[in-house]
Amino acid sequence: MGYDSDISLIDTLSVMAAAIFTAVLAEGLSWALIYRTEDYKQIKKSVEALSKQLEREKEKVVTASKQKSQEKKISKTDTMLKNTSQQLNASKMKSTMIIALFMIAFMSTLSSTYHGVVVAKLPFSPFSMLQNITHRNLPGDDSTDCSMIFIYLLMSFIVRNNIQKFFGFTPRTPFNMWEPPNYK
Amino acid sequence: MASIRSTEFNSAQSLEKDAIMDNLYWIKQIISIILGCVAGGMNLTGFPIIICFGIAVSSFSLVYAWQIMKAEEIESWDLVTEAFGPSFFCFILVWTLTFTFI
Repeated sequence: MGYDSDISLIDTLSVMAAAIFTAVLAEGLSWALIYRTEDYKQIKKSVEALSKQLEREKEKVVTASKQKSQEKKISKTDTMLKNTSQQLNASKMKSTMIIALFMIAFMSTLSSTYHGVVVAKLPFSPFSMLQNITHRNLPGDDSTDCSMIFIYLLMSFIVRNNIQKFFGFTPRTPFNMWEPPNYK
Repeated sequence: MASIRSTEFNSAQSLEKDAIMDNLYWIKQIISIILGCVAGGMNLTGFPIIICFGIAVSSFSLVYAWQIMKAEEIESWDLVTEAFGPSFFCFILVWTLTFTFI
């Protein structure tokens, strides 16, 4: 395998540049509409403080007699954290929807421009659900042909996450979607 | 007095943990780019490469935090999952691009 002369480097770079542009624009809009508001900053601080408090409570070693009250305390803080996190998500809802509509419109335009164009070759054969994205709008049966949408989504995700991390837009919390069951 | 000192100590520990996790986030991104370039440059293909990437990055996270930074109080789950998504997607992207064009 290796370089396929039918795949244009310019096409791929254009898709990546478009992804970077829209990701930066989306984060800029998010900052203007969401992150810089006092409301969001307050709720974010609360989420971070509650996360740290919960972590400390879970690490505390107590005697058997105080075990039940400790568990009650942890449960109460956990509930408060979940409610505050929901508040945080709700405060972002309207603006996030506006940004999402813009992204969808832009991606549709880009998708029609690159209809039927292979922008990369995947080094693995994706499973059937993923092929709906990687092989979107492409002719033929070669599952390793990659459409612009996959490259666009990957690039966009990476750029947005790194911008959010670099500028500290999202709260630092030890809790995330990867939380295992029976997490202490 | 003891409770104030304990709070200060906890805050210092917490800040140290945050710094370690922040560093780990960025180091994982860099490692993903390097591993992606190597995998693509060597024309490696298939899902086993993805599994090897997962094992390599997870192992590095644990070694970095526990052996190098001596922060044994940080749970293994936190270390493995810190920046897992961004680093995984970064690896897939770089691997795909180097595989396609080199």
